[in-house]
Amino acid sequence: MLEIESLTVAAGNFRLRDVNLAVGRGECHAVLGPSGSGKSTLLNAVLGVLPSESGRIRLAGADLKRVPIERRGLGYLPQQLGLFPHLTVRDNLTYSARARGVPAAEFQPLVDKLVAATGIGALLDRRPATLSGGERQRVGLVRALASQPRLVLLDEPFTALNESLRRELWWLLRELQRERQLTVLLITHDLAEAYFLSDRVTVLLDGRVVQQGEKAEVYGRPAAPEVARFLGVETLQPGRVVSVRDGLATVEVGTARLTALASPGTVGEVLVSIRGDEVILQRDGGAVSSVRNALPARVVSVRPGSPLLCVELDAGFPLFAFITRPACEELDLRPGVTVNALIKAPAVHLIPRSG
Amino acid sequence: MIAKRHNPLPGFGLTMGCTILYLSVIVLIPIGGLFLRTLEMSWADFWRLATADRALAAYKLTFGASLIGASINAVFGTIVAWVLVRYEFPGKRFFDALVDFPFALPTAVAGLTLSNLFAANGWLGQFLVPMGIKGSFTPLGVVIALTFIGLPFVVRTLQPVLESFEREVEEAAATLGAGRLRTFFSIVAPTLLPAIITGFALAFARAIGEYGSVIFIAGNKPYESEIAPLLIVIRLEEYDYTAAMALAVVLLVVSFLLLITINLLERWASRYQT
Repeated sequence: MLEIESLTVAAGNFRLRDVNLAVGRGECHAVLGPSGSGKSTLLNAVLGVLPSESGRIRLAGADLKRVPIERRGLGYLPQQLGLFPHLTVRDNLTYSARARGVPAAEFQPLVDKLVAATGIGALLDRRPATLSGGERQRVGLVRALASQPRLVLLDEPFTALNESLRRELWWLLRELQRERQLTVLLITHDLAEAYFLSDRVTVLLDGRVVQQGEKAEVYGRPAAPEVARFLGVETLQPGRVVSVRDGLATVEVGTARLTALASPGTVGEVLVSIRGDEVILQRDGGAVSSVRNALPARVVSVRPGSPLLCVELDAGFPLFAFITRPACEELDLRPGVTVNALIKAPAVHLIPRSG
Repeated sequence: MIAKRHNPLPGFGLTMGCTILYLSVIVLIPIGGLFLRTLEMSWADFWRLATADRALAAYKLTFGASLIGASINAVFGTIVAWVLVRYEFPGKRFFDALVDFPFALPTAVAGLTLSNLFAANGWLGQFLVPMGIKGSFTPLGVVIALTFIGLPFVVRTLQPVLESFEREVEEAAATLGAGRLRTFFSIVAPTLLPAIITGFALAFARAIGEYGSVIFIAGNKPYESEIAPLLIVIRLEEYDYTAAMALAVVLLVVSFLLLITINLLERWASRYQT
């Protein structure tokens, strides 16, 4: 549906370089990156407020270069929502019908459906200033979807809301997206948001695409150290591949040895990335299992968190594990206690260390 | 009953006392005095003095020229504010500072400069006068002077509003199918309107009271280019205090009514910003 080909965009001193990205019909694609990575520049280029230096953007097969914003068929939910303050919610929602000269009768059924789905029926006669944050988000979302856009652009949606409201709106958005087969480009710096809402992820760092793929792939197997760092992989340690046999690599990390899946390019010096939720902690030996890595480890500290606690371990190298509070209590984890840290081989991800 | 909150700063009694005293000394007592003085004359006298032909012509000029000047500033001030807020260009700070010039310039200097500029042998006048546009010593001169001194008001009231106006609102309108004109008239203009009206009101009020710059350029011909404040001065110089008072009261009442009207308009225009 949306195809971006080797797009380069300059915005002041910043430059977004050579971006390739494709979003299929009915797919939600998250563009993930810290602030200053070029997310907004990319959004503005698709939106049509920033001209591209080279490359092209196609929507439903048509080159967008000469298409003005109002005819691109976009549904846009800006970060600050951009609700029209002087219009009632109802007039906000039907603005695109008036702007496009579509008869209200043709437009109304969809608006009614979306209003019902988002539960904003009671707010129609109010003005945006009198609504709560969550209500405004819903209005903004319905307004963007009501124009039957070919592509929905979401710019850091819901960032201003509290955690529980955000989750509620994520669910709502995901349902709407699946049900209506919306094609969505989601711009966000929030890993959880991207993971929850999207199918595929593009990670942008310093104006370049550093990784792109299925979300599980990107989260589980960061392609470069800086991606792993941005994704907040808890354990990220330098290591050395000492041998490769039958598709399994043996890696030396600190004083420990780990077994990982070998992949081309990961020889010699590597970075070992292990997500905190892939580490299982066990007390008192335990039976033989399929787990390849069982490391004796000493608890260094237990950091509170919700719903998961983060346990820092010394397993010959600093290792971090996420466990639930009941598990922590059952294992009686305190600094100094010795446990077994179990990590399946596929959960030990090796990143080539370039340069 | 909710217990009264304790405020660490000096409380209601002291500040309210100061407010009343200050406003009384500065505003209420002088205006009250003016009304009391006019009470000394009979209603018939007041009416005769206040509605003399010369006075009527002066009111017409003062209020008419102020209205035109403020309207011109409402339109062009909006454009100036828009350009200063929205675009980056060389000399932007200089142009921004220039807006305050009419504030800073002594009004007599402004009047002198303008009347020289538009006089038949002035820089602009030498071209304009042969074309039939006489800026100096005509009612047009009054409009020019009042436009000049009212310039900063619309620009300065509008700038902060424009700065806080989110571009996202315009972008959202565009993605919803609105072209530039529609975006401007259906979205931007209604949002800016309250600030424009406020700026207009300030410029208008300032123009009604303006004296210094106008008397140099107006020519001050009775019935033609004589503004009401000048007529008050003339009456005073003739030691005709009652006539001066009558004129002053009329100016006061009309200004007051206008301010109320504009206030109501402003409230109407900003009714959604609650």
